[in-house]
Amino acid sequence: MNADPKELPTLENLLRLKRAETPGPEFWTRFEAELRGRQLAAIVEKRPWWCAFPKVYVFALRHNRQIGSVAALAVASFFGYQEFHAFAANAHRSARIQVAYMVRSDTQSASARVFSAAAKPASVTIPSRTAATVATVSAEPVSHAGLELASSQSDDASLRPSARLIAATLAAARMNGTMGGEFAGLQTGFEPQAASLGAQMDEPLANMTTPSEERRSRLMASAVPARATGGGFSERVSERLASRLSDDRLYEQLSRYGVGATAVSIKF
Amino acid sequence: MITCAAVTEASKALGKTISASPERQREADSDSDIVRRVQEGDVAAFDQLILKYRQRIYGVIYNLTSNREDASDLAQEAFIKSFQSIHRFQGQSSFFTWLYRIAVNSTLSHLRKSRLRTFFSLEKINEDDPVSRELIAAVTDSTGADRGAHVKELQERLNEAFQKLSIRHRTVVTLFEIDGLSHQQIAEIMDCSVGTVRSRLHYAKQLLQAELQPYFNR
Repeated sequence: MNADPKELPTLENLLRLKRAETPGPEFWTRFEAELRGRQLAAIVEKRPWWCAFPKVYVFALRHNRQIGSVAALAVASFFGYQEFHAFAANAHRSARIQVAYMVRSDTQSASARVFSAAAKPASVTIPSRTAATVATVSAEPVSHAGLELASSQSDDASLRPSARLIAATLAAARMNGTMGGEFAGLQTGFEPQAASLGAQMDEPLANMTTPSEERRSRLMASAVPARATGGGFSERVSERLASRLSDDRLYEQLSRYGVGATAVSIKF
Repeated sequence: MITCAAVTEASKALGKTISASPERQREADSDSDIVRRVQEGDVAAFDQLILKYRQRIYGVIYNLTSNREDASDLAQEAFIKSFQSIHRFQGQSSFFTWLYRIAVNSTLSHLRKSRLRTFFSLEKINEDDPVSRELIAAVTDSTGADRGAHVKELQERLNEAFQKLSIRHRTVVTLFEIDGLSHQQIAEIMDCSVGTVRSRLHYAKQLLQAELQPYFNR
């Protein structure tokens, strides 16, 4: 700086005048007292909860690598658990589908055996209605297995393509084996024979006739002489009659019937 | 194509620009010791930092506001803010630069809020300093009773011209011409480039020259 009074002042010299605008000592005494009070107030004052955010931000900045690693590990663990959970659920579904197919195939083979047994009138003495009842009873597991299969197929929509493909292939293989045997009317091989034997062993009551059925067939044999001839028409008629009449009504009505050698008499 | 040698040269040049002087380095080292003590819970150690920087901080704020009451409040506010957030100070810059940044930002925020409410509350020029006394003599060129009036008039004209500058230009002129900081330090405090600081300084000086022209033609 050039402070020569005779020299023209410059802008820098004029601006240096502002440096001389300084307060006195009393100002600094007051300044220090006020600052001390504000400082103590700042120490005592309870800071709001959102003032903790800068601390968290600084902490995150300082430990960003560790926090990032932990976050990545947590995300990977979460997705890994999800993947494992989905895999376990698929395995459980596949096992259930397989069991359902196995039940279905076993039941179909058993029902096929019952149907084939009912189709032999010479060897079985039970009326055809009994066979129909047995067939109906035997068909229930089939329909149940069909429902199970349908529910399994509805679950297949949530399966993965690979799981669906495996299930479809397994179902096709089972269906081909079972349906082929059914349509051909042959039970070849060890498995179908064992299945039919197992069905016979499993349901012995299906082959037994109830006392009411025996009584009904005995009464109907005496009431309808044509039954003795063993014709198909008379058999159907007796079946219709038996189906229409209840037990009480049958007893009541039989008392009015008279059976002769060549004619039937009815009392009114 | 940028070669490795060119990058190395540029890094060296940048290091020369950024590196602090030995005096500044010693000051920063002493400050870092005090700051570490305050961060460890020694509240009384902060008084040393207040005593060391209160005059400079107050001077900067006063020259930016031209109001002594506002300057006092803002300087205290800057010290309180720095005290409250000193645990966030990581030493990436010097404490001096960090404290200046808090003070300047607080002042700029205050000036933006009270842009329409501007009035002077000036400190008396200290004529005990021989340099200031000679300068006043050269500018006013008067003696006796008129001299005080002339000095007061000069001070008001100077502050008026200063307040006609924009806030950013005023800050650059204050930090460079009055407080004596380097371009690099001003750039760090104002968070801008050195070129921007130089450009603002040049523009501000042209405006002040035009405003204070009568005092240069005496």
